[in-house]
Formats: sequence, C-alpha cells, structure tokens
Amino acid sequence: MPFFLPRKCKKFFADIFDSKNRDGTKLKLYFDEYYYCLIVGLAVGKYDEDAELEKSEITDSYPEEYAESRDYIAGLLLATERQRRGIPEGDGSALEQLMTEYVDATSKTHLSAAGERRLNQYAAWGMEIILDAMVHPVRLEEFLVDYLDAFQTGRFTDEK
Amino acid sequence: MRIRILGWEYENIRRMNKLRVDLRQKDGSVYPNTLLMMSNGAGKTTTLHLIRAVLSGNAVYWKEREVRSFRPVGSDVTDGYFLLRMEFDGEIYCHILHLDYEDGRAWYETSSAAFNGYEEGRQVPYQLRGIIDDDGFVNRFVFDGEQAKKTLNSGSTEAENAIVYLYQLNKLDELCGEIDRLVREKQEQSSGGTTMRSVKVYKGKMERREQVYKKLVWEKDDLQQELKKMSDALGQYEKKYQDIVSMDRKLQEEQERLQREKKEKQGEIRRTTAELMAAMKKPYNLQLNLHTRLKGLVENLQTLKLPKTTAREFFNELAASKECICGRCIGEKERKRILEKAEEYLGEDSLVVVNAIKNALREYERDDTCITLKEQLKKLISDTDELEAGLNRLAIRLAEKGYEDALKIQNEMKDLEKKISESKKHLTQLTEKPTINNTALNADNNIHLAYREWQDARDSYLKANGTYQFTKKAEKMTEYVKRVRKNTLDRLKEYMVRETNRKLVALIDSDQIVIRKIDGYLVLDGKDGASEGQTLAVAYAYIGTLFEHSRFEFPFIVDSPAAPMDLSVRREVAEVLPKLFGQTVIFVTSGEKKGFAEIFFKRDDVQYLTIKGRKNEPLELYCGREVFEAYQEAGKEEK
Amino acid sequence: MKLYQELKDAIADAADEMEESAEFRKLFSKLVENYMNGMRSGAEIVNVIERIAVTEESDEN
Repeated sequence: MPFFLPRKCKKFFADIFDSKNRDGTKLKLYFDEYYYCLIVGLAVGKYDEDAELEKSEITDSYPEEYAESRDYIAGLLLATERQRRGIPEGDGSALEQLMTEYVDATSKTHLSAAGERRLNQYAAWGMEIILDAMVHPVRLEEFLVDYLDAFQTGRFTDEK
Repeated sequence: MRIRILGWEYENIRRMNKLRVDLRQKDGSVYPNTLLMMSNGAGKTTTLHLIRAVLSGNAVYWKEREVRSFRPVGSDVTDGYFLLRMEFDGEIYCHILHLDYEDGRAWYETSSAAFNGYEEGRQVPYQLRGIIDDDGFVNRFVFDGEQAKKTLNSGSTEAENAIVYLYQLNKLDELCGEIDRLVREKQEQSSGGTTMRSVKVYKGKMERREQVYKKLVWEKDDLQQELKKMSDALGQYEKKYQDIVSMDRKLQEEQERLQREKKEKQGEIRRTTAELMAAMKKPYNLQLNLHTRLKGLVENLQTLKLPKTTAREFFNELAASKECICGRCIGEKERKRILEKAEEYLGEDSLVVVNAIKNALREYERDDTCITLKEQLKKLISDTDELEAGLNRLAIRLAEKGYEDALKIQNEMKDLEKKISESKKHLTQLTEKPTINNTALNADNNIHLAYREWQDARDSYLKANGTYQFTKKAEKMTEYVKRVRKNTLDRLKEYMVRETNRKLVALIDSDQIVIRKIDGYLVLDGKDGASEGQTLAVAYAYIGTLFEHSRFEFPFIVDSPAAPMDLSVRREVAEVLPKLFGQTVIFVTSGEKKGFAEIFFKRDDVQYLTIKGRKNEPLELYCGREVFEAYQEAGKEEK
Repeated sequence: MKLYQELKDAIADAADEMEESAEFRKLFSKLVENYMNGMRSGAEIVNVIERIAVTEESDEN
C-alpha cells in the first residue's frame, strides 16, 4: 500500500507549499507534509484507525530526498508499535512476530502493506495533533521553528 | 410483368387421383382462353381453392381438418399434392402444395430456373413479394361472384384496396412507418425527453451556464485590469517614496543599507531552511524521546539475539525432509508443527532487511544539528523582522522631518501589496487549469470548468432540441407523403372510373350503369344497386381496367362468370372478357354453354377442356371442343 | 423502373404545393421515387427530413 496524505494536509500547508518552489521558500513535496505529520503521530504513539486520507496516493516509495530515512522510519515504526502493544523486553518471540508482520524485503519501502497502512494511520493522527497545537503557517521558516519548538516543549501531546 | 398459368396437376386430391391440366399450345405459349367444363361435384370449387392457396401461400395456416378434407373419400393414401405451373416474364416456376393427410399438414415447394431443384416454401419473383401474398389480392384475379359483390358493396373497401395494392400505394404507408421508426430511434438516443418543456429546461440551463462563464471572464478581465492599476500605483508610490527618501541623503543611504541587509538575511534564511529540513529527515534528531525509543529497540534486539539467524527457509526445508537434524523422524504431526512455527521466523531476505535496520539504528549518533539550526533560523527571522521594522521606521522619521507623506505612502503601499496578493490569488483560482487533485476549483469559480459545463449544457440542449426539431420536421414529412398518396389515389380512381365506364357502355347497353366515384367501393350513379348480372359485369370491367393499367399482367381465372346473367349480358361478357385479359381460364358448367360458351366457338384462340367421370370413379380429363360441346350435367344426358 | 404517371404527377403536385426550398422538393421527389422502386435508405430519409424548413415554436401546455 502506498503513501496517502491525510485529507487535511493540503489545506493546512497551502500557504507554504509550491510544487514548483519557484523562489526556494516553500515546501516542494507532498511527502514533506506527510513526513512532518507522520513523525508527530509516531512520537505521540497513537494512530487513527479510521484515517481520512486523500483518494489518490502521493507515491509508493520514498522520494530520493528521503531515501536515507527509510531504515529510521521502519525502525521507528517497530519501536513505536512495540511500545504501544506493551511487548515486554524479555519477549523475543513477540518482538520477532512484530517484525515478520511489518517487514517485507520485496517492498520498495521494506515495509509490508500492513506496515505502510499503519504509517498512513499514524500520519493521520499526527495531522490532528498538529492542527491542535500549531497555527496555520504562512512562512516556511516560521513553521519549521514552531514545529521544532512544539516538540521540545511537549506541545505535541494527546492529552487535551 | 407478364404472368401466365401454364397448367396444373393433381395427385390424390378428392376425385382427382392423378390428373394433369395443360394450358399450353404446341409452341409453348398459353392459349389466350381456356374454357374448362367441370361440374360442381367434380372439384371445381376445390380446384379454385387450391389455385388460390398456391398463389397466396396461405395453406400453411390450414388446420388439420381442412388439410385432410382433400383426401380422396374412402382412401387411405397418406399424402397428395397439387402442382401449379406459372410463368413470370418468361421464367417458369413450379409451385407444389403438399398435403400430408397423416399429420394434417400442408407445405410448399417451389422449383424454378433460379434454384437448383426444389426449394422449400412458396417462392415468387421478388417484384411480386408483398403484393401477391395478400389473400384479398389473389381473389381479384381468381375470381368468383362473391368477390364481385364486394366491389359494389357499400360496406366494403374492396374496390379501393385493389388499387392500393396493385399500384403499391401501401409502400407509401410503409414509408410513413419508416419515418416514425426513425423518429423513435432519434428520441431514444437523446436521453431525457424531447417535449417542448424539457427542451426549455435544457435551454435554461445552457443560458445560465453561459452567464456564469461570461461573468467569470469579465471578472478575470476586471481583475487583470485592477492588478495592472494597482501594480502601477504601487510602482508610483515606491517612486514617490524613493524621491522623498532621496531628498535626505543620509536616510537614503540608510534605506539602501537596510534593504541590502534584508536581502542577505533572506538568502541566509533560505539556506538555513534547506539545511534544517535535511537534518529533520533524521527523526532521532527531532526529539529525544524518539532517539531513546530507537536505541531501546536496538538494545532489546541485541539482548534477545534477534533477529534469529535461522531463517524461515531452513524450517521449510526441514519440514520437507524425513529426518530432523537431531536424528529423529519427522512424521506428519511434526511436519505440521514445524511449518506452523516457521511462520514465526523471518524469511532470508527479510532477515537482511531487519539486520540493515538494526545496524542503522545501532550506528547512528544523535547530534544537536536540528536545535542549532533552529536557533539560527530563529535569530535570522528576528533579524529580518528588525530590518523590516527599521525600514518602516524610516517612514516615520521622514514624517517627523516634515515629510508627512512618507508614512501615508508606506501605509498605502502595504495596503496595495495586500490587495495585490489577494487579487493574484483570486485570479489564479479563476484561470488555473484544473487537475484531479485540485478540489478547490469548481464550475462557479474557475473559467475552464465553467466553460466546460457551459458546453456540456449546450450539447444536451442541442441534442434535445435537435431531436425535438427533427420530430416536428418528420411530422411535416409524413404529411407530405400522405398528400402524395392521396393525390395518387385520387388520380387513379378518376382513371379507373373513366375507363371502367367506357367499358361498361360496351358491356351493358340495356341499362345505363355508370360509376360515379370510388369511395372504398364502386358507387353507382343514381342507382342503389345493380342486378347480379350487372354487378358481375361492372366487376369484370373494373378488374380489367385495374390490371390493364398496372405493371402486372395477371391471368384471369373465373368461376361461372355468366351464370346469373341473362342472355344478352352473357353474350356481351363473353365478347368482352377475352379483350380484358391476356389469358383467361374460365370454369363453366353445362348450363353456361348457351349464350356464353357459344360465343367462344367463333374464336380460334380457345382451348376446350372437360373434366368428368362416372360416379364413385376417379375423374378424367378430355381435350377438345367435341367433348366439351357434348357434355351435359347429370340429370340431363349422361355421358 | 418506370413509375406510373399518376404517381409522378402526384409527387410533382405535392412538391409544388409545399412551402419548402427547391432543394427539398427535388430531394423529396427523388426519395419517394426511390422508395417506390425498392431503394430504401434510412439515412436518405433522415437527410431529406433535416432539410424541411424549421417549424415555429409553439407552446405545449
């Protein structure tokens, strides 16, 4: 299953997105938007079972700019799911089972369809948290600063 | 087309066990006149019935009882046939009507030079198809008294129908039917109705959509004009501002410096942003928590010695062998268990992937790049904002120095810039080419989509209206065709009346019988009706005229043509009949010899046939005038 | 095939009476002749119908 953008992304990032990025001051990839949402979702450790996603996929593999992030994202998915499912440290077989569930060597992302689907769900929840914690960005640099601040000060949280 | 009867044959039909009637002369052409003497019980009615059946093809509808009624009485023959030999414009056709007495079924066969051997069914030349198939039509030239009455019967449309079919005016009716069909076809293709009302609805929608489109285009033009004006105004303000600033050299220098620095800062922001975004692609740098989690996973994997070095493939292979590596046997139970457990292990390839992940997680080192860059960016932003503020303050200082306009101009410029940005956004929405992803555009705010909707509405309207128009035109067309039919029929009727009356003058001089008009039937002038003899005479004259004028020269087969007539009329009819038709076949009874058959004796183009036989014996055919003349019905002289 | 005179005259008369273009009248006459001679073409009929002068719009109730 490829990557699908959460439905509210385009509107939120509208003012700092430009697929042509004419003056170098905007986000160029829809995957950038996806990534920022995904990390927030993974960080908080919650995913949206009924994720509202765009009808058409962004891509079915990592863009070149994100090629190096592939293993980290896979690892983060495993680590997050381990934590979320409460797999105890001593339970090797449960952990191994988790890996067989999510890892697929034949996939471009190295993740199985279940894994990719789960990522989309984390991204969707991440979008909701961002909407809660951040204002509508009008300048890219301000967004990045605010985004990192939110992480540091714990604004990205599931508690309301 | 010249149509002739060459003769017929019977086999196993009533009293005709095997009989053959030939109407041809030695040279192959038919006798212009054949008088056939057959008493009533001898099968005259049967013969005529069969001739009609063959010509019209309606025997296929006969019920079992009717078919079996042709079976010779007291016989057990299983079948019989009646063969009719015809000539159409020189081409000979043999039509056979088979009668299957066992099944009670009648069926046809035809042979002609056109087919090799016999073909099933009653085939006629194509020119006659549709004409001769009509029952009523055949009765017009295989004639009897009943038919004659219909021609003059006010309840009947026989006389008129005869014209319609013989002159194929029914084809014009078919044309009207075809027009109807074409209209229906067109209507089916245009969905959504073609009444006047629905056409109006479509038109309304089209006009509305056109309005929307035009409005958007005007909006676009207005916006473009506005934008130009605003840009020009902005340009002018900037110039004015510059003029003010340049009046004070110190301030001008400061402005230039501030602007330079602002530009530099903006460049730095761009660079730093790019760097930061790259660093952020490593999630462990974004938050400590994430880093902890990842390292925790790696540690755990190491502690648990995961992933297990044995791959799923090992177990799958093991399950396939008879013996375990420990030496024990592997039975069905063991095999099942091994395969189950194998699912818990990673495949070889996946092992590689997991190990790659494990390595990546193990090897990375977190750093503060993100935080550092973030702070840098923060500073750059605030620096830029300060420079902006500085530039703004310039305006105030100018105002303080007496250049009041400066502030005002600055504010105007800010306003304008805002308006320009909004207008550009609006213009983009109006003019952007729609893509699948862009869900914000619709037919009410985007010119391309509005245009498309207008065109779609227009197509629907044209289609509906086109169909509507077509329907109206088709109605007119049908009217025209009907007019042609009526005109033609009127003219033909006129001709028929005229010509028939002319013949009647020659036929009946005792009484003045004049046809006034054809109103379905022949309407006689002044008279309420005519005597039986007169009715027949009128009918013959009419039929004669009908066929004479048409493309088809049918033979005339008639049963007891003069029986009810008195002598003088008989004579006239006998004189006239041969003149009316190219070939006549006249069935007579002995009672018609006087006054009728006698007249024919003067001619040299007549064949005389007699079919007779003793009671309970099969009938036989006798040729020649002698037998004919001598023949008398039973009750008088027995022969 | 020759058509009989009455038909030809009737076609000519009907054509004269019509308030249609000369082109239509010619096409109509030809169509009827062809049809009577067994040459039947749906496309030809549609073609001729299309050339009839537009009727006035009238309101349905």
